[in-house]
Amino acid sequence: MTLKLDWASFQAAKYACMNFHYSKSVPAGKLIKIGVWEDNKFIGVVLYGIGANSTLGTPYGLEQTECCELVRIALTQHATPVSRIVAISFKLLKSISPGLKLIVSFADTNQNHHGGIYQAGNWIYSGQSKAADEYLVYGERLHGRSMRAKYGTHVGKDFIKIVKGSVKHRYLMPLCDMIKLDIIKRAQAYPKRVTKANLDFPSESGGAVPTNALHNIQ
Amino acid sequence: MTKNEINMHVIMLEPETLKNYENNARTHSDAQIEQIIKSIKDFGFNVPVEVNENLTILSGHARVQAALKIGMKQIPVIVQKHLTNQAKQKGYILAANKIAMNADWDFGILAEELHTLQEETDFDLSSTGFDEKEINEMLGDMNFDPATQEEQGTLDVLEPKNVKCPHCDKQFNLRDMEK
Repeated sequence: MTLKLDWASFQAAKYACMNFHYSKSVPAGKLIKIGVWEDNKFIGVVLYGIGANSTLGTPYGLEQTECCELVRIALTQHATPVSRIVAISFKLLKSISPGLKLIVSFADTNQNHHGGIYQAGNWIYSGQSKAADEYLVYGERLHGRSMRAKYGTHVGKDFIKIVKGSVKHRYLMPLCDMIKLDIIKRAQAYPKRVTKANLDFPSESGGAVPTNALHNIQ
Repeated sequence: MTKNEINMHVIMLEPETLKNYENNARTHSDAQIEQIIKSIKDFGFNVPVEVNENLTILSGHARVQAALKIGMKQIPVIVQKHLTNQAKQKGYILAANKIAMNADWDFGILAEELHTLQEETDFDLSSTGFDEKEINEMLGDMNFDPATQEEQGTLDVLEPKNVKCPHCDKQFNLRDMEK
C-alpha cells in the first residue's frame, strides 16, 4: 500500500467533509487543505485553519500568525493509522507556513471523543477548554463563527437560541523546540476514553476528532 | 365545503390572462426558464400558479414565463381569495420564494439518489435541475487529483482587512489597529 499526502482542492476537501465527517460541514475561514491518497485513491483530508477565535495562541504568548488549529480530519476507510497521517501532514503545513510554532486541536467530549489519535501521536494534553456558548439557529447547533459565516449578521434574534457548548479536550503540538519547552510545563495526564456515548448533538465546531468510520476501527 | 377548500380549487386559465406582480424581486435567467420548460415537458405542469383575485401572480412567475414560451394554452391556477390584505400579499410573494431557499441538502442522501437514478434507470439527470458539474461532483466524477500550493494560501500571514472611511474616503487596514 502506498500513502501520499499532497495539497487538496477546496472541492475535494468539501467532499471529504460532507461525506466522511460527522459534522457534514466545512470549517469557516482560511484553510490549509492536505489531501490523503492510499494506492492513488483519495481517502480524505486533514484541514488546518486559524481557529474559531483570533486569540488561540494568546495563552502561549503567540501571535495569531504563529498558532493554528487542526480543524478537521475527514477520512473514509483507510489502512494507515490516523496519527501517522497527521504527523506527515505537519511537514506540508510547515513548508507552506514556516512561521507557525504551535498547532492546537480539540476533542469534543460531547462526541465521546477523548483524543486517542492525539495521544497516539504524542501531542501534549493541556486540559479541558471552557464550554463556550454556541447558537441554535433554525434548529442547527453552530459555533458563533460558523453562524456568522453561514448567515452573516442577518439572523433574526427570535430564531437564535444561545446554548451551552460542550467541553473539549485541548491538545497541543509544538512545531519548534522553544515553544515545546514552554508548553511541556502545562502537560497533564491524558484523559481516558469515555465509555458512554452521547451523540445527541454533534458539535459543529467539532475540531479534528476522528470520523465516524475511524471511530469504529480505533 | 369549508372556505379553505373553496380557496384550494384549481382552475385552468390561459397564461396570458395572468399579470406579473410589478415589484417581483425574484429574477429568472434564460437558463432557469429552459430548466423549467424541460421540467414541464418531463414531469408535467404539476404545481399550480397562485394568484390574487385580480389574477396578479403571487407565486409562479417563472413557471408562467416558461408556459408562455412553449405556448401552453392553459395552466393550473389557484386564486388565493383569503389573501385580501395587500401587505400580506406582498409578504407572501417574498415568503413563497425565500422560505424554500432556506432549505439545505443532505449531500450524502442526494448523491445516493442521483447514483440510483443513474445506475438503475434511464432517467435523464439533467431534468433534476442540477447541472452537469454538480452531478459529476456528487457522483464521484469530480477531480480528486492533488491541487497546487497556490490554492492553499498561508496561515502565518494575515491578509489585510481594508476598509474605507465613509466620511473621508481614506482607506486603512484594520490589522494595523489590532496590533
